[in-house]
Amino acid sequence: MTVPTRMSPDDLLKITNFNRLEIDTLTRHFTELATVMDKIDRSKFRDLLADTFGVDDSLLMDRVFRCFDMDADNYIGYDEFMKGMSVFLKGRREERIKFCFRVYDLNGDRYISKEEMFQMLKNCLVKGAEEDEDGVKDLVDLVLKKLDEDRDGRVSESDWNSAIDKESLLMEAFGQCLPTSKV
Amino acid sequence: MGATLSARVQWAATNAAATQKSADAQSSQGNLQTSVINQDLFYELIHLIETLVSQHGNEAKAEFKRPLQWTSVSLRPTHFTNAVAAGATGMWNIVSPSPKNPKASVTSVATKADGSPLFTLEQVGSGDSAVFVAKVANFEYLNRVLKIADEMKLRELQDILQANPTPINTIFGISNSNTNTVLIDAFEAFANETDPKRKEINSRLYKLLLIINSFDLDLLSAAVKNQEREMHLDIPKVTSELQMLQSFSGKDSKNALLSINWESDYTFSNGYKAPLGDKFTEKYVILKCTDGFFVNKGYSADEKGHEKLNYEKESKVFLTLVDLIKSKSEHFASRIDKQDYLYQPENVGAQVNVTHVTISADTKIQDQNDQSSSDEDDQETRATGNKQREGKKNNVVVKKKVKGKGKSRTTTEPSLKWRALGITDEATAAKYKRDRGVVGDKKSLDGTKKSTVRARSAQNEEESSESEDDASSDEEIPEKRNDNNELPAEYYQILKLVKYLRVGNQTATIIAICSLRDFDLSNEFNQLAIRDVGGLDTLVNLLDTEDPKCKIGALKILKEISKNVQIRNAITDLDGMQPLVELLRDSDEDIKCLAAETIANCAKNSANRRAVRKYGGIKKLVRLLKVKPGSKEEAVAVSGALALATCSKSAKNKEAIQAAGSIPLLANLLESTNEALLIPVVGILQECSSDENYRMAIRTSGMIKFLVENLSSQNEELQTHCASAIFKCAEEDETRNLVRQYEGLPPLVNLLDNPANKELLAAATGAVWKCAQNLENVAAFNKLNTIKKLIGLMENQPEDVLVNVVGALGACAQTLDGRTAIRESNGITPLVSLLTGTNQALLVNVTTAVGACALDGDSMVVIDRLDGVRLLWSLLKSPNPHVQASAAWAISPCIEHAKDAGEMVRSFVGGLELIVSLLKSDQSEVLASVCAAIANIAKDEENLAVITDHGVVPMLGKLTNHKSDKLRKHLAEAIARCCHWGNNRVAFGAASAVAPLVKYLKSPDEEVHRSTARALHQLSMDADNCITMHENGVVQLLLGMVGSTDPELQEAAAGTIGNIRRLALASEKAAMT
Repeated sequence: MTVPTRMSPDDLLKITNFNRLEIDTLTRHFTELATVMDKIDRSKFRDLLADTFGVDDSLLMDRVFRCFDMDADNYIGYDEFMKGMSVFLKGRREERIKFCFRVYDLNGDRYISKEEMFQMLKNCLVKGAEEDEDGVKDLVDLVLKKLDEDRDGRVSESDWNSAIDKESLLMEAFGQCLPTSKV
Repeated sequence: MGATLSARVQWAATNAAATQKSADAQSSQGNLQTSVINQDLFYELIHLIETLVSQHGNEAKAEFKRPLQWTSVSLRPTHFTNAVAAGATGMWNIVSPSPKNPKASVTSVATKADGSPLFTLEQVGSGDSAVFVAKVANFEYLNRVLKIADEMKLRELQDILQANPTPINTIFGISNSNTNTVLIDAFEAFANETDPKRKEINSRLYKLLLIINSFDLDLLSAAVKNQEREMHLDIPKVTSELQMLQSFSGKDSKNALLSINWESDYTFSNGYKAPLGDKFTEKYVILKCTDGFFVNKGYSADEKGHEKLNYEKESKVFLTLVDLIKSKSEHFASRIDKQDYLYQPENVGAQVNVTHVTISADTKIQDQNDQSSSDEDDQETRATGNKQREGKKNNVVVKKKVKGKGKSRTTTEPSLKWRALGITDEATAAKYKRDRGVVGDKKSLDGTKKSTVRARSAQNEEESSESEDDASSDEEIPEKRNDNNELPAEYYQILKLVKYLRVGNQTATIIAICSLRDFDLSNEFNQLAIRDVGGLDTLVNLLDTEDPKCKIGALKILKEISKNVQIRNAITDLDGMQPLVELLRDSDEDIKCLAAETIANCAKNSANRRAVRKYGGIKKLVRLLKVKPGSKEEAVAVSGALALATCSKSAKNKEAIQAAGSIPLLANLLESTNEALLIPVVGILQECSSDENYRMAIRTSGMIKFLVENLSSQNEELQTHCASAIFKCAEEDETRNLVRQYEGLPPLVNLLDNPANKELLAAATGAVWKCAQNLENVAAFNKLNTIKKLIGLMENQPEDVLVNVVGALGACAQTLDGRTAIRESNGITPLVSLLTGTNQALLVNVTTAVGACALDGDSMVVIDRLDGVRLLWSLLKSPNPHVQASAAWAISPCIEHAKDAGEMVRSFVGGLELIVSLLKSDQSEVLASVCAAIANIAKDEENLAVITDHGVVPMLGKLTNHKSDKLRKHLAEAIARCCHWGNNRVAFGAASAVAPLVKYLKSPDEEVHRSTARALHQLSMDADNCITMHENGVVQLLLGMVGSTDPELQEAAAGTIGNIRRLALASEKAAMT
């Protein structure tokens, strides 16, 4: 069992938005969380998201995990963690826009389809009665109208970028996937 | 058709018929019930007749055996005249009423075989009782007549059917009433006919009968389907009945209903309507269940205070809405069957209104006698359909209005504010109930109480806002929403979005907010729609959430819609200032900005201004100003300053703004070059500089320099604010000097060259006026050719500009150069012509200016020629003491400098009496000015004689006890002058004027001494006065004055002492001898 190599703090300084102090702090956090093979497993990461950052939608927690887990091995390694956190916590606007798009693109086909929107919005309306399905569909239509700039019934990354540029409130249009408070 | 008629037409039940009014008595055959079914049937019949004529022309021409005859309610010869005018010439013979033949009639040109016309419309009876009887003998003409009747065709058809219960029998001349055998009978009649000509006629009739019969079968089969559908009530059926009732509703007294509406919160996708929870407090609610309508118990409050619909049944079940309302209101019952169906082309369905429409305020209270329908008057009857088992609800509001038949008492029009609060209807209803003394059921009592409470709170609000010092008249605009039943699609979309706002989580909320922002939020309709669907509450509530995005979104919408007066008032009612003020402390810059900008809009309403202060918002706003000019946070300061600028319209807020330590911050911000920031900052300063403390602070903290600098800004708004601030600050002479020292006069004068912007002009001329009260400034202004510019501004300007212009001229005319300049620029004429104005402030300034000009001999000639003195004199009659005083002040120099002044004064009829009577005034300024004028008048001996006759001496004597030095000076002067006539010196002594005059010599004012000494000198010519003076210790005082440097004072003092001494010597001499 090989412990994966970690990037040096100097390299991280270059590729992330963190300063040295922040890198040190996050490294300490990572070490606490990385119990298996110096990696963080899914449930630990989900706890982190829910408890520390207030991301509480199960579907989106998984999606955030996927976005961190770049090599798709179901674990988040040190480098993945640092790079992910760089965007998640201190990402520049464009980085955050891109990150959100990747989170919302559930099947990773570079488009957010109506079905994906429906999946993400279905728990949005408080009342659990059957008419809510119509409400959710309605919401999907509304948000599609705002985001789908080329009117092809789905949201491409360029649609997304220009729509968020116009209305930054829509950055987390399909549920919270960025932290609520700063660490 | 016969079968259809007999099977489907719902004849009114006998008891209903009994209530019919005499107007219907003539159609004794019976009455048709008003119902959807009948309405449908009429549509079908009209359709039948139309197709018959268009597709079976030949048969349609077939003559009826007996013509259909009916009393027409709506058809009049004029209708046919119009038809002829529209091109149908040669079809109708119209006999207009003439003196010989007063009965109008219409006949068709085409005739029957026997020569009688196919259609006749004849007037039976004359005058008011005239009725028109129509007869028609074939389908072609029936169709034409119905076309002419146009909208009233359903009504006509109803009349026809009522007059001819069995039209088939009439048409085919069959007496047997058994409709089943009609065909056979007709065939027999046809077959048995031997005469070929008559056989021809009969054959056509028979064909007609066959055609009608086939229609009949179609109709019946359709009817059967309908019947199946109507076993249960459903939305389309309720809707169509409602539409029918809606078409009857209206304010006209003949209408049975005022309005009828759906009342519902939102539409489910399947078309059912849900009831609205809490909008109405007391109403009849008619529920619909699967077997009919019934009245439920209305709204009741549950233990949590939420109002719920009580679905419990309270009345028996009715089959249709009409039946139900009938049972509730006799008036409705009596009217409904007289309603005229309004013909509408089938494809244009009336739109059903899915909201409540405020009941119109012109509520007339029904005649007292009409007790029968008391329970229903002025109430809204709400019909709610409900399918409880499925959890789907559907409701309808019937706003019910029964008009009094006799004399109707007019009620007081409810306050527009009430209406704006949406409680008009309840308040009126409550009031009405009290008037009537009718104690309704429990529900209505609750309703009364509730609405009274709300009305009272509205009243309080009104009073308290009135107590706020400043004008907020712009907030009093009444709600001017037209009760338009047709709401555009936007309304429903907004309704839907607000629903998501309410029931959704953050994510849905953000989506809904973003979608709402796609609407044109500057559009009044959309703004009010958000309020009406309850979106305002939700938005204000969102301000308390944790999520910054929701807060930003809500603020962005509130910021836009709060530009609307009514929205601002609604935000007041929701106490929206509290969360907004809290947000000013938020860590997020955007939120702070947006909150401040929203406050800036809302604070145009005085109640909101007060609320901002109450919640400590002023301090928080002032804190926003703590930024370095030019830094990134300037945006926060801009919005903070904007909010403060609107808040500073209240006097108490001005104090609070100063108390929060704003002055140094504002001074700091003035260094900015950002106009967006400077404008509100200077706006605050100019608003606040009406307060003396501020003026002092502004002067001492060196802000005048900035104000002067920004006068040369490119931005007119900024220029206006600066000029206005200088206008207000230049009340103090120090400020005037400062303005000159900072070279503020040239830019001020330059601003006068911009006559288009009236606000700027008013501010600039105001600043010139105030600055010109400093003589050094006047000299500077003269060099800048200001007077010519000012005189150029005297034409076609609003009054506030004129007041300032004339004020400035008056100030400039205090110097010789100024007076010359005014005369040379032909300024006298426009000034004198302004003396005829009515604006008090303007008159004060004009009289001052004219008075100042009168100091110049040449100008006086002009004034005299223009009869200016007479105009000034007539202003003495003004009720305003300021105008009186300034007119009297102006009169003095006029008399002094006019040639033949004495003659001129005498020429004013009653003028001397008038001016003497002003000595009774209780305003010391008026008294002083009048004394000055009298002193000048008294120079002319004849005039002095006249005013003495008018009793001027005792009146002056009475005034001697006043303490004001200004008055004393002129009073003493007047007394000195008046001594020159008759025994006035003795009379002054008798009026005990001498002793107080002696005291005047103790005054610190040298001028008072001079005129007093002169008066005493004159008075001392009388021995008794000398004694009085001596007794009051005058000699000691005068001896000091003999040493004065003022030769006049010296002389008068010495003269007085001389007189006293002479008297003493004489008395000694007399004692010795």
